Formats: sequence, structure tokens, C-alpha cells
Amino acid sequence: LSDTGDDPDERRWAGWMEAAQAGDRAAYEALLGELASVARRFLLRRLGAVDFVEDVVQEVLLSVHRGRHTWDPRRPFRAWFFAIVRHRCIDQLRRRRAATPEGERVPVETLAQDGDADAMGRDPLADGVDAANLLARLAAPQRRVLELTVFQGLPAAEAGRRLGLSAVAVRVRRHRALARLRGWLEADVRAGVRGDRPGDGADGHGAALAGGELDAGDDGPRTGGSRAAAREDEREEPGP
Amino acid sequence: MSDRETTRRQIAAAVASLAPVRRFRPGRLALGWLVLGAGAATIGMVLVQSFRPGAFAELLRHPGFGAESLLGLAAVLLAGRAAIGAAVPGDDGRIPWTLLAVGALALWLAFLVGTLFLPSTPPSMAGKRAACFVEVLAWSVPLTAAGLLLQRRGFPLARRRAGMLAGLTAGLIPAWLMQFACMHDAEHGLTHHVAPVAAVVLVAALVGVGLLRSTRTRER
Repeated sequence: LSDTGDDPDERRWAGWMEAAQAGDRAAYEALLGELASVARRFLLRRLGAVDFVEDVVQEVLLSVHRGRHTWDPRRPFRAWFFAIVRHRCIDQLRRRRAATPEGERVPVETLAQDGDADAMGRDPLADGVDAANLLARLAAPQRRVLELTVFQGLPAAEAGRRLGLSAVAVRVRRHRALARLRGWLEADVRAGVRGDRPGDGADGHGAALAGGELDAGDDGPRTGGSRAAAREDEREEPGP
Repeated sequence: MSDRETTRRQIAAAVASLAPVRRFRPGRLALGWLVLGAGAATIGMVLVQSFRPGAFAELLRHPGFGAESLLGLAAVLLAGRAAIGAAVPGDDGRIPWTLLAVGALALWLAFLVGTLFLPSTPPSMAGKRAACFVEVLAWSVPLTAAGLLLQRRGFPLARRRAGMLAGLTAGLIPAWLMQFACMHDAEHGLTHHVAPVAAVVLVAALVGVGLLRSTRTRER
């Protein structure tokens, strides 16, 4: 029934989800395990190795669980899943300013660049993926506002003081930066739903949508389709 | 406990609590909402005051009024589908329901504005109701509530947008019906039948953000 085309990941996910909707636990476990890896990779590629990637992955899995009855086997699973990923990612970015307590502030420079990767829970296999992340694509003034308000958790007034802007201007800039990120994520998702591959899309950011696993030996055995996707991703990984 | 370990435990908990679900079908639900909602609003309006005499005959006698009504109906149907679809992640992907609804609404409004200059029916006060503005607001309340409750059965990610679409549909139903129930005049239609829809959209967006925060997975 599902519109899966020639995409093996889509076929596999759709099959598992259909079985899960009927109560098949084994299929559901396989699906969630694979989706966690795919979401993690998607987020790492787009946001870099920021400290809240795993939080978003967990929110995504919770949303998949709570919203599983809304997926229709006649519709692409990929579109449904990545709509959740995109929304949860933006939600998390929005929430962080208010939620980041003083003691947990981590400079984004530390997170987005080399630093102590393992201490931050960074996946060594994800090295290099943040070279083309979405934050880096933002205009410098917008990125700076996000760094201060979202990642460092500063109030708009304090961020404004450091940047020489009013609090209102900081909020407006932050809103625009988040809107731009949302737009890029949306474009990525649409490119992935169409089945575009890096190089075919506007900016080559559709790569993670090909699926693939980052954590071999960490989240259990790989399926044949994921191995293929991982190989594909390895070929397409941007160079240093 | 590491973040990855937490994720693994979360997956284990989700798998352990898995139960078969009843699928959320936006097309059917939207159709039911629109048909029952429009039916209930029609009955309510008739109980307050009968529809404008000869309103339905005008559809054939004045093609402009027929076209205007068809555009309005398209806007209502598409808005209804988009509203319930807003409770399904990625529903706008292949068929952009929201865009279609907004497009149809824009065409309807443009047509109504056009009839300010080129009336589609001869000017008349026939059928004028005492409080059509208030009636549109009043009938939209239960329709909005029903729409939001239906959306809660799904999984709306953008709650404000979902609420706005529910309000838009709920406001458009009585606004469109009022074009038959009340006097037909372009200016009156825009100011007394269509304008209240904006207020309904705003209120529904606010209510939607709160009401759609929690949803229920429908297990069999």
C-alpha cells in the first residue's frame, strides 16, 4: 500500500511501522532503534556536535510513540518522521534559552569545534559532519545571537548588552534565525522525501536523509538496508 | 547514566508499552466534521430565522452568485481538510492542503471584493437578520471546539497553526451559510459574515496552543 518507490529504508520503516501499529513489538524495537540513529545523524549533520542532540532524539522517539497512530501506510513514512524531527529540533532550540541553568552553560564554540568531544558525548564517527552544519550557514549576527541566547542561555537583555543591541532587536534576530533554521530543515526534509541525494539538492544537505547508522556496535546489529545507507553516507561525507 | 543509555531505556519502555492503535484518518474525520458541523449550524440558523427566500434559486439565476458560493465552499472544504491534517505530522507534504485552503479563501475574498463594484445579485435587503455578525461568532464556537477535539485525537506538532486552521474552518462554515441565510450584499457580507472569522481564528489559535498540548494515542 505504501508509496515506497525504490527506497529500501522507506520500505523497511513503513513495514515495521505498519506492524507496530498492529502491536508487533519486535518490529517496533527495530524501527525505534534505527530511527534513533537516523535522527541523531540528521541532527549532528545540521547542528554540529551540540550538547542537546540526544535530548532531541529522545523527544523525537517519544513523539513517534505518541503519534504512531497518525501515520497512514498509504503515505511516505519519511515525510511523517522528518516532520517530527524538524519540529522537535526547533522546539528544543526555542526552549533552551529559558531552560539552560547558569551552571550548565557551555560555549557553543567549544561544542561546535573540536574540544573534548568524548566528554560531550560526541560520536567519534560523526567527526566532520558539523563542517557543513546549519548554524554555520547562518549570517554571523544571527548566529551570534543564537549562540548567546540559545546555547549559552543568556537573557535577551544581557545578550543585547554584549552585542550592542536592544533586547527587542535580539529577540527579533533570534526569531529570524530560528525561522531560517526551520526553513532549511524543511527544505532538507522535502529534498529527502523526493529522494534527492547530496549534490542534487540546493546545498547538499540531504545526505543524512539517506538514513544510515552512526553507532555500530552501540545500538545493536545493522540491517542490510542500513548497511547500504551507511556505505552511501561514508562515500558522501564531506571532506575536512 | 549516559544520554545514549537513556535513549535505549526509552526505546525499551516504548516497546514494552506498545499496544495496537486505531489509525487517525484525517480525510474521513474532516468530512464528518464539515458535514455534521454545517448541518448543525444550518439547523441552528433556521431555528433563529429562516434562510433568505429564494436564496438557493439565485445560485442558478445569477451565475456570479453561483461562482462565489462555489469558491466559498471550496475554501470551507479545503480549510477543513487542512485543519484536521494539521494533526498529522508532514500531512502538507504531498498535497499542500493549507496552501490550497488559503488560495481558495483568497479567491473567495477577491471575488467578494469584486462584487463591491460588480454585484453578483441585484442589491436587496431581503432576508436581513437581526444579528448575523453575532450568529457567525456563536455558531463558530461549538464548531471550533469540535475541530480542536478532533485534532487532539491526532498529533499536532504546530499547535498554533492547527488551532488557527480549526478556527478558520469553524468560522467559514457559518460565514458561508450566512451568504444564503442573510441579505446578500457584498459590503454586508464582508463586514458582517466574513470579518468575524478573523476573530475566531485568533481565539482558536490561542485556545489551540493550550488545548492541543496533550493528545491521546488511540489504542484499540
